[in-house]
Amino acid sequence: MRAILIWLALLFPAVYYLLVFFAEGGPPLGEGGLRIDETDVYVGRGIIIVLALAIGLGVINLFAHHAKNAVNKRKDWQYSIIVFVSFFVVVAALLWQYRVSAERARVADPALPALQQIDELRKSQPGLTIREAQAALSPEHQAALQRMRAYQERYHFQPREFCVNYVRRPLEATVMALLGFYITYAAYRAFRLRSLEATVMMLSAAIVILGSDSLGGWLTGGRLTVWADFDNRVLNSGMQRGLAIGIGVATIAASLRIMLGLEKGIMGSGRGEQ
Amino acid sequence: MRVLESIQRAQLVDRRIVYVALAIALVVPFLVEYTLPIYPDTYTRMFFNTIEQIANDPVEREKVVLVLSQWGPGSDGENGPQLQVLFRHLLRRHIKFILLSTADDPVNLALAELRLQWAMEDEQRRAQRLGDPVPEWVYGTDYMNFGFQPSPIFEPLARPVVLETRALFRQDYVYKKPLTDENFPLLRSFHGVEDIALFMIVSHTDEAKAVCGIVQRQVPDLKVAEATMGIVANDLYPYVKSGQLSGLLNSARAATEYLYLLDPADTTTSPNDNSMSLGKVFLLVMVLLGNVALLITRRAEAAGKLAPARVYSRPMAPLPGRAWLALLIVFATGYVGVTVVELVQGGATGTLPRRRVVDPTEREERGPKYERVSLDELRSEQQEQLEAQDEPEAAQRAGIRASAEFARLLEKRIGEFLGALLTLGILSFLLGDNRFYRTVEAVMIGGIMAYALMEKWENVVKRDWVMPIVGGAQPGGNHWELVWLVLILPAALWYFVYSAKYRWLNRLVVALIIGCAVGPEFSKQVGIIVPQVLDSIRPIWPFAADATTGQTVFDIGRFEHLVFMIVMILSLLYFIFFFRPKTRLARGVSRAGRLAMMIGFGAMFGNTVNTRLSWLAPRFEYLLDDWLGKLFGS
Repeated sequence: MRAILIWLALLFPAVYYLLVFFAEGGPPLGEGGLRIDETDVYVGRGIIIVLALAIGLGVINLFAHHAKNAVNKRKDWQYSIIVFVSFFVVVAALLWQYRVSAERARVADPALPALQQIDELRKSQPGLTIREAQAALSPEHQAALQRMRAYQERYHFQPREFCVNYVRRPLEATVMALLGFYITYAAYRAFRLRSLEATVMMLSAAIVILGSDSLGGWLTGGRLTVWADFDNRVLNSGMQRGLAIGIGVATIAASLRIMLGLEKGIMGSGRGEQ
Repeated sequence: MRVLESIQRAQLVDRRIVYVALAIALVVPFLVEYTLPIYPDTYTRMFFNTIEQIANDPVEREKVVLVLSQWGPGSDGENGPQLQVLFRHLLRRHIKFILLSTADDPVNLALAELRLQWAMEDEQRRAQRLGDPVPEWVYGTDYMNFGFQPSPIFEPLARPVVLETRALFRQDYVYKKPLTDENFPLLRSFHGVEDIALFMIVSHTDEAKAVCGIVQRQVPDLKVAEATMGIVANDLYPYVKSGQLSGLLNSARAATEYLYLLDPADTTTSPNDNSMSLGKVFLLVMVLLGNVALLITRRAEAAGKLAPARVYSRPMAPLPGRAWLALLIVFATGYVGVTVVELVQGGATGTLPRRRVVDPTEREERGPKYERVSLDELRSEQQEQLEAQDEPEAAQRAGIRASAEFARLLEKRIGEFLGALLTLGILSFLLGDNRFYRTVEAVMIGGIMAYALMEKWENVVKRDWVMPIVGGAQPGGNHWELVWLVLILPAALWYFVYSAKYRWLNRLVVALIIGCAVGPEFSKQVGIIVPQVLDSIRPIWPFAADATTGQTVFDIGRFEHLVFMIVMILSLLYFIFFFRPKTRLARGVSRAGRLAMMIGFGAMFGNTVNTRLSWLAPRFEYLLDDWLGKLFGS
């Protein structure tokens, strides 16, 4: 029974999207209503909300794991405290940001009609600068624009921008950058030209690496760049299309298998779930 | 004998030595500046020409470009420069555009906003340098930000994002106002897909395939182009060939090539580009050395001159406590030293570093990149500008503007010191697991979770779910909005994962989401395979009659298609497992298929290396240019 329910939960949206596919451009549902393929904007919105509400799982797990660490003073519990500190600092920063944004919106709100008028003026008189268009506005609109400009001229700390630019960017970009070191060492240790196939692969890789680079281009007077371009556009592309056709057919078959409930892993055949 | 043993041992060299050598190779271009010529590739040119065509076509100009930004801090080294240069092109040619995102991590949009801001600054700086009027762009008129609708699966959203953009996003991100023509003049030029001049994707994945498969099938005239990482670009090459994509930017080097197309006279390679170059050359040299060492030792082993190696891999030995202590002392002294120098220099002169303002008569690259500026200097600079523009209350406003600018510079400098500390913390992991790294890692985990929670609550759950329901429940409200209450049921199912007895209920919502991914995937695959097959069925004979002279000439396009078809068919043949290749011919075809695939895999590996080095070099640029460069290079 549970497996059937799970299968139906899977089948229902899958069939809906197939209907969207096959009923594309069909008649509307009722007089003046939406076509079936136009309803996907609401379904999409529903999916986004349901997925966003799953964020609680992450927060609960994070808190449960690190709270246990900290309370029981397990090994390296200090790092759990840092996780909490970091969490609450970012929460506070974003709450601050929402206040800053609301203030900005409050100041900008009356200026929006003025911006609209500027747009109309610029459209009717091509070549008109923003400054000239501003001068032609009503005093009321000019005042609203001036208030917005005065607000923009002052310094307002943007906590979100600070968090993103100086904390998350350096952290996450550097984590991913570590892969540059790993791939270099892995290539040194493992890329061995033991066969014709390995040699051909290395040759193709060297052409792409050096040819799609200014140094390789400069050393060969641009010839290697042409070869790299050819390798990517023709040779690599040909192989990719061959793979894509195969993968595409396989994906359609796998999609059908999932829809028909033949994939047992998804249906929940695990212990205690039947 | 000893030399041979050393060569044998060199193959098992401690990986930290290789890391340090690579780091040195990457650092060199920042210390020894040089420039190299740039050679844009075919698909970068196509992308550029697509935007130029829009700019030069009076009908297309009136439409908008949708910019879907789907990348995070991890791929900042590649997608960041790509998005920035594309923004610069749109801004320079005054093409209207709308920024949006459906990436799961809300930080993606914040990064795109930063790149937009930097693109505007770049364009204004360029205009200043050329002595042109400084351009301005008005939000709501020239560009807009629709915000994000986060989803880990793009396929179910592909159609609404393109065909019903305004209905899906509903509000702008900056002022939180409904997307109506009355609120934003730009929206008068954008009511539906017919008003999209180009759907531009800047992403670390291949959303272009979903847009081509699901949307382009329905709207064949829709132009789609993607800027992506080298690894992903491999996948997308066939779609440019079939005409489904109007351009493709492959990796960070394509961003430099694009910049060159935008400013041919002003663009040469930057230290960052040169750093990537040297990193790649270093990798190739290491592969070569590894193979030469293997060849020499194998021959020596076969000849009995060397005992066969007993160990083929060795785990990284942990550094001794003394080494860690020495490193800690060096690091702390260095970081604190740099901070003290900055404080003393800034405190003594009352100045902060900034990017040098270039005089219209000089070329930017000739002088130092940075300069230090005091509050008084900023004030007189601002006053000069305001007076030149005949602005009222110049003296008073100059003071306010100068204070704001000085505060921004201070914020930036503090941020750069913090960012450098965090960058060094992560890089320290290369030496082995350590407390510095784990502290920084803990900061990252807490920060990411808090950011996702707050942004999803504020911009999705509260805005798109709670507020409409509350509004619908009010007298006179739209009662249809109460229908959204039904989402409580699937959302609640997530949390049954914590119940031992009812855990299976959680699988219902998981299945629901899988169903939402599987259905559109089916239509996507049908939509992308058919044009791929149709594009393959074209004339392959490389000689064709010239349209004007009627003479038979060699057609390079047909020749390329012939080679393309050979590689494609050989790759497909390799996967035929219905029979064993027994004859010589069958075995030959099978081997040719394997070789054809190896060419492709080699190119894939090459593009992967491009990606990895594109992520690494900017981190050195951050440390040596943004952080230290401002201190010692101003």
